[in-house]
Amino acid sequence: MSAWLFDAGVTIGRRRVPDRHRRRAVANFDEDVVTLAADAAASALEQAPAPPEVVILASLSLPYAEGGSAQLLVELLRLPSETVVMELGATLRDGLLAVRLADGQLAAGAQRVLVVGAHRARAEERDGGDGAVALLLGRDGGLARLTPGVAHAEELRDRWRLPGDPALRIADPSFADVYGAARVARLMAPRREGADAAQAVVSCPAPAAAARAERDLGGTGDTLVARTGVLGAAHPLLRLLDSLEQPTLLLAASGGLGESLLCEPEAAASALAARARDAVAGGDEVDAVATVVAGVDFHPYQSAPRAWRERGQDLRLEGLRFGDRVHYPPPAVPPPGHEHESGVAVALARTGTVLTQTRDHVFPGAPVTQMVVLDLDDGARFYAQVAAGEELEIGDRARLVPRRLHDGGSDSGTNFIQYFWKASQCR
Amino acid sequence: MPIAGQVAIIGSASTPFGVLHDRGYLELLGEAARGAIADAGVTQERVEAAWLGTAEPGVAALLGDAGTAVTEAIAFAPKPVTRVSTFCCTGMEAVRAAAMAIAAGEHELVLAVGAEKMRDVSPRGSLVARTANLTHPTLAKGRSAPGQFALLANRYLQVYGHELADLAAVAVKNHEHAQRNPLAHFRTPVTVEQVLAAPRVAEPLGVLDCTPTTDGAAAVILASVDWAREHADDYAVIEAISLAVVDGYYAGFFHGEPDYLGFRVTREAAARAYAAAAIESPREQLDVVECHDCFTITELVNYEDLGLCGRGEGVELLRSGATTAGGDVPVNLSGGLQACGHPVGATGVRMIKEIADQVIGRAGERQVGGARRGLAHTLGGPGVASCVAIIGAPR
Repeated sequence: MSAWLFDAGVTIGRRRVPDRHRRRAVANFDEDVVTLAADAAASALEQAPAPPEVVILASLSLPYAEGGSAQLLVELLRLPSETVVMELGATLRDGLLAVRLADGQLAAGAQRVLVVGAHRARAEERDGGDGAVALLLGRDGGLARLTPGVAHAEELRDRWRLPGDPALRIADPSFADVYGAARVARLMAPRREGADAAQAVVSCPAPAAAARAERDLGGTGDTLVARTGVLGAAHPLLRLLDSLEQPTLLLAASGGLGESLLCEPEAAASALAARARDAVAGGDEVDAVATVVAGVDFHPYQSAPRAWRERGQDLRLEGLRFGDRVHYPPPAVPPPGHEHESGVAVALARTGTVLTQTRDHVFPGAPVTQMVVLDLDDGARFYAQVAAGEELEIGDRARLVPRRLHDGGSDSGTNFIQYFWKASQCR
Repeated sequence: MPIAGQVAIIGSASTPFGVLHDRGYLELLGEAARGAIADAGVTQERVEAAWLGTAEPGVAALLGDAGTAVTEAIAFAPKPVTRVSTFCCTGMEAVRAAAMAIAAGEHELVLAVGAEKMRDVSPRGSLVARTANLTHPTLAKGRSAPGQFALLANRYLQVYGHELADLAAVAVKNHEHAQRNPLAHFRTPVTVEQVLAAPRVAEPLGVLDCTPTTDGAAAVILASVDWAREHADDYAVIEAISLAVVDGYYAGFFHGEPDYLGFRVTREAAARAYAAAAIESPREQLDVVECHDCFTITELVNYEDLGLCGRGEGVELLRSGATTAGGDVPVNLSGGLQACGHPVGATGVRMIKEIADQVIGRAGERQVGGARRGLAHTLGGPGVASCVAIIGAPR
């Protein structure tokens, strides 16, 4: 049994920050694994005939250490509430492990599975970058056949974090290189079942070690990492897309855990590879991470029941249609002329035009908070912050994107993360 | 009976407006209330009920969260006191509620007092912090009061092709006026260049486009016109007072109706007030106006929404000098919110006192010769509430 790749989406942090031998992709302060994953997944699902029954999120930087993050994707992507969600968060190889799990779900009867790898690098990850890759997988007839191969497990720590650790612990690089993830890849490669003709692609947290291992196995080396950094669990998935022009054996290893995946693309898959490379090639060059605007730190009133009640209208971005007009937030009572109607819940248009704007210098947190009023394409109006690092002017076209709004909460029992929609440039 | 033409303002008082570190909320409230009672020439015992306007008790240790603050400040027990709160219309709404009690015949003399203590914390710790922290966790998050009005400013300038200097001219005019108001927060004139050079608050608005954050209180004593005719030396008549509310707080940000070139709610409130006071041509029939110039752009759109000129003609009206002292419809001779400051609950009461003083003929250096009728206007929330009062001399 194999899974088939039908579509994909790639979101890479917009900023490119030079760091030693490479540029790291750095997302803005209002982005995290959930928003990056949602953005990539939205692209992957754009042409999907029906929503996936299963969502698997693999990330080493999940915003919620406990309590779940993937359910946010279900809301932000307007997926059915009966969607099965899974989270993986052990090591970088979990990107490929997610494909193995998806393969099992498809074999068990699922029609479509969404696999998302996403990463927001920690400060101490000097080789790390920010980004997300989403794959829409299904049964026969897609762009590439994906067949899980051998796995590996042994007690071999190259990076780890204990409960309460503020930072990642990373083993001596020489150990990681010789005995770490790259070694695991070398161990797995000879066991490439039916993949003799495939090129080998190795992903592990240490780029130099991965490159050496890959060359040892006859591969060409990782050309993406120099432009993005290592994207955690998303990295092997990005490399999968990059190698869609020929059969590839993907190997991913870290922490003594290894996964392998054989990818056999059809000719039409090269378009996906091109799209992935375009996403990597974009971005805004900045000199240092310090130029990224600092995060917001304030303490708004919020409550879990309120958040739960309003998820339908904010994360799913749903309004109520009465006649030919969409109202957001949904009105408490029907508008005049529609007194006996209950309205139809609809997804708001995600694009619109800037009616007016201001750059606010007194709202706490960021030095300047730009606010815009958008006239959405469906006639609804939306009042929103502009996504960090972007600017909009009157008359500009804009789209709504999910972003991390704030983490505040003066009550320690309710300081959960608030996601909402911001306005972003239409690219 | 209706309020219009039947309720009189027989006394009024205001504390200085400013950063009043030496006085607390209760002292300010008490000073204004006792002052109004004394000005009316009555004893406190004869005042039967009170309405308190305080919009932001959260920045004053919750003082003013209920009418009990009046009871404590002036030893008013056991008489009824009701607190009202309608965003920046709060003070004027206290007057309207008190006037209804007179019109209903329930009371003979009542007190309406507005008080706000905003500067026990820094300006950013005051309304800005409350807006950021205590409003909805996601909807409109990023909004500040200046940011809300800056949205109008940018659109107004873009649609009508005006310049920042046209906004600055409002601040220049009102600060000029404030030199003749001993109770104003700021009495120093400013130039267009100074307004334009001031730090930006919410672009395009700078510090001098904005009302300061201010402490203060003001009060009026109301009676029926019949009572006033018999007992009062001087009084003014409430010819009309109208409150309009067009939407909810958060809904007001999102609903598609506003064109960001003015406020429908002001037009609604003005239409009702003009109908009650038989005003068909506001510019000809009003001698003086106090309007809600919380930001420079607001005064320009107020001209239009109050019918002093057509839509899009606010800048031309200002340039004509008509709204400057000596013009045919002077606006904000007190200095307005721009120079008086805006202790939210007190502002509407101060405005009504200002117009009452004008039609009584005791506005001092600010007096408009022969003033017989004036208008006071407040605008609240994200443009969802507005109160318009027409105050006239006795006929």
